Amino acid sequence: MDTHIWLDERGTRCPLPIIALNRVAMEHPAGTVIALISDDPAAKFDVPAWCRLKNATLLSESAPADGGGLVFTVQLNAARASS
Amino acid sequence: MPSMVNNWQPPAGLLDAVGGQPVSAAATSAMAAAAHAWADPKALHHAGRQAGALLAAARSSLAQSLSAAAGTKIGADEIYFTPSVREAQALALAGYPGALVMSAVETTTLLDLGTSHPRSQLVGVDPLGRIDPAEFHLAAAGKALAALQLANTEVGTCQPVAQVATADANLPILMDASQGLGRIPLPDGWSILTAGACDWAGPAGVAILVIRRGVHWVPPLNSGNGLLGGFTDIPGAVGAATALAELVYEQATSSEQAFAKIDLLRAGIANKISDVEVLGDPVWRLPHILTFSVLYVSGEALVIELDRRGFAVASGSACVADEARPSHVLAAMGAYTGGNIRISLPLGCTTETVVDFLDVLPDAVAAVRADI
Repeated sequence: MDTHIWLDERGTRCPLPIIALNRVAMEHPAGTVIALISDDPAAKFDVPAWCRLKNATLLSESAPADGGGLVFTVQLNAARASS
Repeated sequence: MPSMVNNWQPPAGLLDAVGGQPVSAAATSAMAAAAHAWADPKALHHAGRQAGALLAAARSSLAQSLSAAAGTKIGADEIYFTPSVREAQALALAGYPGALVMSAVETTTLLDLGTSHPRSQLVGVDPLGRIDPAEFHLAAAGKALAALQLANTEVGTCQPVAQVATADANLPILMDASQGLGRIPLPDGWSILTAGACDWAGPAGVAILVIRRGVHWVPPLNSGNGLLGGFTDIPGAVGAATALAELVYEQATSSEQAFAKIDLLRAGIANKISDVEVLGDPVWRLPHILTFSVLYVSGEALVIELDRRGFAVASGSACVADEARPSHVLAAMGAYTGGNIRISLPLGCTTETVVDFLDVLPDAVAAVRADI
């Protein structure tokens, strides 16, 4: 698997987790896998929607070992729309 | 007949007509003229008879408007007044103690009250916000009542009510016609309808519950004469009837104009803003409603920025609505829920307002994005 980036956004609220995800996505090539952990209730809906809009694949969504929030594993694809 | 469009002169920059539609001039005058109707309309004395006559005239006028919108005769005795759509829906459900089938994008009132029965079932929607009639039909087996809206008030998408009614002829359908009554024709096949006068430029505080003749429904608070639980706001009923007559008379023109303005907005927003998702069905929709989601902004910040620049809009994002969860409608559609803005054109909204909004929006979005 390609680069695995861990992004801890617990405690931030919409739209900050998605902004953070997008910022990291912009800095890395296709194939990169990002694990975003968020306890924002909107993330459950907005991470899959962001993946659909920005040509990324949501590989998994799971509860972290220590409880709170969800871990979203996202893989960046080639030909992602810019910005 | 002269056009009555001049009765609708919304304040500049108002693009939040859901819950904020100004009362039409004709309705305001009619309510002022009916202000003396204070008496119990069932009383036998002069004042009572006068109030009773006004209420009867309001119901008969509403019945005519509803008949015109439905393309079929609806009687005055099928109309009940309630103080709000929520109460109309609660009363409708109180007449059906069994299990319900409903779309996942009904009002929160219906979702909260209707899902209390253990066998009640929700039917999901596609990315445009519409149920699949075949899936709805499967879920409808053994249910006492279906709830399916005329159109969604958040994203504007119309629901296939007539198709559902054809597939399940014996299943009564409770159709919430909020925002749609007076703007689009009513489909065939519904049994119970709810709608609020503030949606059609009538007063807030008056809503209607329409129960078609022959539908098995026992009024939970019947006090006779089509009055549910207590005194009716007679000036309000008169204003509601006046405003609906006006809107139904103008429906074709005002809806066509609003539809074109939303088309303009849908195209303009998609062209001018990067990372934006314009939601809902582009064609089979309410004429005057549009929702879009802007990535990387908070809906609240964008509402405030647009207000600063002279435009009143709404947002259904979790960051704005006073709830921990984002809009159930956007979530059910699988749409991006953050940075969400709903535009609802008031009656009489000008093309200038819409064009000015499109001019201001890119800068407003850029300002909010730069601020984060």
